Amino acid sequence: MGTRVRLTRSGGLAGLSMVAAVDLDELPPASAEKVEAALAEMDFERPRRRRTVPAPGPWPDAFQYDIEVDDGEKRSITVHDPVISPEVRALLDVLVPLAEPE
Amino acid sequence: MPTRRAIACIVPPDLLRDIIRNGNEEERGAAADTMAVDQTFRTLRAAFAATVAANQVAMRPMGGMGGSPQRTIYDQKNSNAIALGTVARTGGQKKVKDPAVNEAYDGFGSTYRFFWEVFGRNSIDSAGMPLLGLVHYSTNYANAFWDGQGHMFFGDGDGQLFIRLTASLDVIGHELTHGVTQFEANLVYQGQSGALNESMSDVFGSLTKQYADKQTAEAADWLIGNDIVGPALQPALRSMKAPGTANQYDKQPASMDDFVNTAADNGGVHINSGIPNHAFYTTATQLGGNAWERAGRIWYDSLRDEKMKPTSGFKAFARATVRQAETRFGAGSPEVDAVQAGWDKVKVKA
Repeated sequence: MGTRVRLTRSGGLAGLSMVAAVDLDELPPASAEKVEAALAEMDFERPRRRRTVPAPGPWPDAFQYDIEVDDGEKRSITVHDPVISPEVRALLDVLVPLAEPE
Repeated sequence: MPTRRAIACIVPPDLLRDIIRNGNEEERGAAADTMAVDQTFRTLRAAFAATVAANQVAMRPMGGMGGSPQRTIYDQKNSNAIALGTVARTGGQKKVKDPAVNEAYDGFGSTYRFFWEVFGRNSIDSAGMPLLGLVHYSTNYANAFWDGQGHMFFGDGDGQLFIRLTASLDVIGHELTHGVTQFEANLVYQGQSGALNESMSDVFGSLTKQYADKQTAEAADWLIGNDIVGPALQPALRSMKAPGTANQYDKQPASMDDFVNTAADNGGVHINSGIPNHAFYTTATQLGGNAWERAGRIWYDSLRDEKMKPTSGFKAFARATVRQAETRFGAGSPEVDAVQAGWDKVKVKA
C-alpha cells in the first residue's frame, strides 16, 4: 500500500470544509516527492504538544488544517494559519490546490 | 510573535484547566498565570490597549482625539511571512495604482466611520488603535482573517471560492469587528461563543455596508461576501435573511432546531452563526428603517454588556439584548418586542 494523505481545510471566512485525499503513488512524481520530503520533516508530536501550552490562535477566520497520514501507521496533526512550519507549508502547497468542497 | 497577554484572550478555559491538571511544571505555571489573568480579562484588555497605544503612539498625529482613522496598508507580495511587508499606503496619502491597497484603505475608513459616527467608538479598542491591513498575503489565498494582534490579512483569492478579498466592504467590516469583539465580550472562538463572535462580525460588517450605502433594513440584501465570491460560492457567502441558502454549500441553520455539532471550523463557528444572524435580521426588519439606529445600537450595547463573558453563548447574549433594549428604549417598547421576536424566531430563549 502506498502512503495515503488526507488534508481537510476547514474554517476560514467561508467556513467551508475542503478535502484532498490522495495516494502518493497517484500524484505526479515531482509532487509525490515534495510531499514525501515534507512528511519526513514533519513533527507529528510537537504540534500537538505545543497545543498544551498557550498556543497561537485559533484566530478568527484563520484556516484550520487537519492532516492525516496512513502508510501502515496512522498519524495526524492539526495546525492553524498563519503560524505554519515550512515543511507543513510545502505539503499544503501540493494538496490545497487539489482540495474540493466536502 | 504572539505574547502571553494576547494569548490569554484566546485559549479556552477548559483547555487551560486541562493543562493545569496534566501539563508539566512549566506548562502548569503558564496556564495558571493565564487563568488568573483570564479572570480579569477586562482589565487585561485595557492593559493590552494601553500597550498597543504606547507602542504605536509615534504613528498618531498630534492631538488626535478620535474621528479620523489611523490606517496603514502593507503589501505582503504573496509571501507567507507574517512580518509586516512594504508600506503601500498610509495616513493621508493619495490613491495608489493597486486596487487591493485602495480597497483595504477605503474599507478601513468606512468601517472606522461607521463605528465612530453611529456608536462614538474610536477604532477597534475605542482608544484610536491604528488599523493595519496586510494585502496580497500568501499565494492564491482564498481567505481574510484577523490575527488577534491588530492585523487584518487579505488574500488575492483562488479564483474559485473567492476573488480579491478586499473588494467587499462587509468582509472588511467583518474582520475589523473581530477586533472590536476581542476588546469587548472577547468571545472565545470555539463552539457557541465562537459562533456568536462570528455573528457579531456579520452583523456589524453588514451594517457597515448598509451605513455606507445609506440603505434601510428593507432595502438591504442582508448578504455577506456577495462582492467577492468566485464561481463555486455564487451568489454569496452567507445570507442573514435566509441562512442556508446563500450558495450550494451553505449549511447554516436558521434556528436552534438545526444547530450543527461538528469538530471542523472550530466547532462550526461559521455555520451556527446563522442562528444569531437571523435573529438580528428579524429584529431589524420588524423595526424597519435604518438597522444601525435601533437594532444595531442594541446589539452593540449588548456586546459591551457587563454580564457578557468570553464563554457566553446565544442565550446569554439574547438576555443581554433584552436587558439593553429595556434600558435604552423602555420595558414594553416596540424595540423590546422586536428583540424578543428575533430570538423567538430562531428558538433561543431570551
